[in-house]
Amino acid sequence: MEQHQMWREALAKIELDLSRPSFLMWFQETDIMHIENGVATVFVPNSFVREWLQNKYHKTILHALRGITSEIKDIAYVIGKPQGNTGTISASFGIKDALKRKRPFSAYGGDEETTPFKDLTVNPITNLNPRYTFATFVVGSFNELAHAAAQSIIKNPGLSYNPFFIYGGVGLGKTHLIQAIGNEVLANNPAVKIRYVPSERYMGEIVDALRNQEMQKLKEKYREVDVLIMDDIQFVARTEKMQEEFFHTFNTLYERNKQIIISSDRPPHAIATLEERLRSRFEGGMIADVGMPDFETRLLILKMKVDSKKINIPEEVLVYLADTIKTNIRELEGALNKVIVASKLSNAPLDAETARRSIAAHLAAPKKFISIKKIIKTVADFYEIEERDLVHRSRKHEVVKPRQIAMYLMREELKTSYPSIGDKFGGRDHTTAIHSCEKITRDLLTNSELEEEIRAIRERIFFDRSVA
Amino acid sequence: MVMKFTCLTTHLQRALGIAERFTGKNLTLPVLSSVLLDVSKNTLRVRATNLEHAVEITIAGTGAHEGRVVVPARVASQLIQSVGDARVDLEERHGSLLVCTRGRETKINGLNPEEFPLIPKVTPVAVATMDGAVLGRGIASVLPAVSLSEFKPELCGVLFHLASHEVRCAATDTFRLAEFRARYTGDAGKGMSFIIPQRIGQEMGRILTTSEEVTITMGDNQALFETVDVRVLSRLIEGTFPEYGGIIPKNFESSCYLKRTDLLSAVKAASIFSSKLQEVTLSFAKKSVSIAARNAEVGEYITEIPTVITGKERVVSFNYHYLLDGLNLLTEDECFFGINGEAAPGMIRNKADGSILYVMMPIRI
Repeated sequence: MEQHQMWREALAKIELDLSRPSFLMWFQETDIMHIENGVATVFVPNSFVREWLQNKYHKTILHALRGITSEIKDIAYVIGKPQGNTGTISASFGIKDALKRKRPFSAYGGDEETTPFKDLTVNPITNLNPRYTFATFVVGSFNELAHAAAQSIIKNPGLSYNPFFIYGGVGLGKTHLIQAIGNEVLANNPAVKIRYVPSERYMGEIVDALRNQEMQKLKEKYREVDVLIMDDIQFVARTEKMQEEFFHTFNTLYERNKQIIISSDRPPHAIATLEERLRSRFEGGMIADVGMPDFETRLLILKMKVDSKKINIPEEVLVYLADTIKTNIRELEGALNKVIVASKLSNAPLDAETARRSIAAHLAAPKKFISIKKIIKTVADFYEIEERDLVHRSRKHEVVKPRQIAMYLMREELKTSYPSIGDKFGGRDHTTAIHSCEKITRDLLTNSELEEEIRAIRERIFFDRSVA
Repeated sequence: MVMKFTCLTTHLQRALGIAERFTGKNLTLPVLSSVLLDVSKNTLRVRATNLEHAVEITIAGTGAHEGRVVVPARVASQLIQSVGDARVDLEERHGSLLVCTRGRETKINGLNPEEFPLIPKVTPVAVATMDGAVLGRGIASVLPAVSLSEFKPELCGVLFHLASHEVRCAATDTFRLAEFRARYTGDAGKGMSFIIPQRIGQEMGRILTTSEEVTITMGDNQALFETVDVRVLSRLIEGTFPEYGGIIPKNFESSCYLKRTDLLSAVKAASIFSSKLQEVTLSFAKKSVSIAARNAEVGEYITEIPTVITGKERVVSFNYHYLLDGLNLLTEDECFFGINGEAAPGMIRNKADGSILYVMMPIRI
C-alpha cells in the first residue's frame, strides 16, 4: 500500500521535530485513508487528536507530506480506525496497552454458573440469537427432512420451499433450526432483511400498535422483510384479529416471493382454531416434522455440549443421561448442566452414580410420589365424580371421558402396561386401554380445551402436596 | 504581566478534586496527568483530560491578570487540600505556579501550557436540558450493573435514553440489569440515546448532586454535559445497547415485601458461608423467606424473615454480590422481591417507588 508507506515516511520526518511524548500522544493510531484530488484524508483515533492536529500540527504534517509528493494540497482529518496491520505506529510501541486501563475481567466468581439473560445476545434488528447455528445443530434421522429443507431454503430463500412449516414437540430443536436458517441466510448476504418473531411477541406488538394507533407502521415493518420467521404459530390461532393480521402479511410476502418460515408444536390441520384460509396456505408449502431423537443422537448432542463447554465428563455419565432422558433435548441439556455444576463442586471425579444423584431431583422429584391410585384420585376429584364410578364398569357418559384421561395419564406418566391399565379399571380388555390412550392423544391435537384440562390435572398430580 | 488570581480555597479544592479524576495515569505523557489553569478576566478555568474525556470547571475570583499554567494534578490537588485559609492566591512565574496563603509560599513546577491538549468542540446532533439531580441519581443507580468485561464494549457503559416524556438509564452485564426511569418535563426535541463509559458515569454521579440544570449536547461520537460551572466532555461507546425490555419480568410466580435492611444483613451473613459458586439460597415459603448458604468447609447458615408471600412456594439461588449490589441501590425501607423459579430472572425494587428496577438471573444449582 503506497499511501501507508507515504504516511510512515511522513511520520519519520515529523518525529524529528517533536518531543517523543508528544509524538506518541498525537500520532499513534493514525494513518492515511485515501488521497483524492490532492486532499489526503487522515485517520485519527478521537476528537482530541483531530482538534490538536488541525490546530497545532497541520502545517508540519502538510510540509512533511509535500516533501514526499507535491500533489498533496490539503489534509482532512476523520475519526476512525486504520484497517489491519498497516503503517501505523500503534502496535510497535505498545503504548496503547499502557494507556488502556486494566480491568479485572470478572469481578465476581461464579459467573459461569449464572446463566446470562437470553435476550441480550439477540441481534436487535433481526431478533435472531447468534447462538443458534448449524455448527451446533445435530442432524439425525428424526430431523433430517427438516434439515435438508432448511439447507435448500438457505441456497434459494423464497423460491424453493415457501412457506416452510416445521412442527414437533417441545425442546426438540425447532427454534434452533429456524433461527439457524436466519443466521445462515444473513451470513451469506448481510443485506437481506430478516425478522424472527415468536408469535406471542407478535401478539404483543399488535396490541401495542392498536393502543398507540401505529398499526400502519407495524404493517410496514413486517411487510418489508425478505425472510419472516414466525415461531410457535399455534398461539396466533387463538385470536381472530391476529390471524387476520398475519394472513395479510403472509399474502403480501408470499406474492413477492419472500421466504416465510413457520414453526408450531403440531401440524396445521391439528391446530383447532386455525382459519381455513391460513391452513391451506401453510399446507401449500413444505411441511416437515421433527421427531424424537434416538439414543445415538442424544449421546452425540451431549458430547457436543460437553466439548463446547470444555469440561471433562466421563462417557458412562453421558451414556446414563442419554439413556434416561428420552423425549426432550432441552431437558437433556438441563440435566447435563446439573451434572457439570455437581462435578465442579465435588472434589472426586464424577461417576454415573453421582451423576444419577445430582439429576435425581431434576428428573424424579415430582414423579416419584405419583402412583396409579393418585392419578385415579386426582382425576376423580377434578371431574367431581366418585372414584368407584371411575374404576367400575359404569358406562355413564360423564364417566367415560375422565376414565379415558386417567388411562392416558397412567400410560404417559407411569408407563403402565395396557393390560394392567385395563385391569385397574374393572378388568377391562387391554384393547380398551389402547383405544382410550389413542383417542386422547388424537383429541389433544385438535381440542385445546382438553389440553387445558389435562394440563390442570397434571399440575394437581405433581404439585399439590395436600393430595399426597 | 503575569497571571494572578485570588479565589476561595473551597472552590479550588472542589475543582482540583474533580479535575484530578479526569486525568490520565500515564508516565510517558506527563501532560495528561496535569491540569491546566487558565485565567481570563474574573474567572479561572481548571481543565483536565486523558484524551478520552475532559472536564472544565469554572471558578469565580478577583484581581486577575490573564495567563495559563499547567501543573501536575496530584501535586496541586494535595497541596490545596492542605490549605487551611479561606482564600488562596495563585500566580504564574516562568511557567511554574506559585501558591500563596498566609505564611506559606509554595512553587509547583509546571509544564509548557502550549502542549496541553485542546478540548474539542462538539457538533450538536441533539441538545436537551434536564434536572441535574435526576440525571446524577439515574446514572449512579444503574452503575453497579455495568459490565467489567471488555468482551462486549456496548455493555461497558450506561445507556442514557431521552424520549418525549421519559428519561431512562440502564446498565447490564448480562447477568443482572439495572434500570432507572423518570418522567421528563423539558423539551426533548427528537430525543437522544447514547452509551457513556462507566468511568464518566461514576464522575457524573459524583458531580451532579444538586437540582441545577444540566445541558446535554450529543455529538457524533461524544457528548457534552454542562452545568453552570462544570463541563464534562466524554467519548461515547459505539454500538447498540441491547433491547432489554423483554428481560424485565412482568409477572412473578412468587413475590413479597421485605424490610431492606433485614434482607441486606441476612444476605451479608449468609455470604460468609457461601460456596465457591458465591450463592445464597432464598426459599419463599408461605409466611416467610429464608436465606441460607452452606459450605462444606466453613459450615452453614440459615435465617428466616417473616413476611407474606403472594404466589407459590419457590426456592432460588443468587450470586450474593449481585443481590447486595441491587439491595444497595434501593432507597426505601421496604423492598419488593419477585422470583420466577431457577431458570428465569428475579427482580427487586422499592416498595412504592418504581423508578429503579434491578433484575438478576439466578444461579442454577
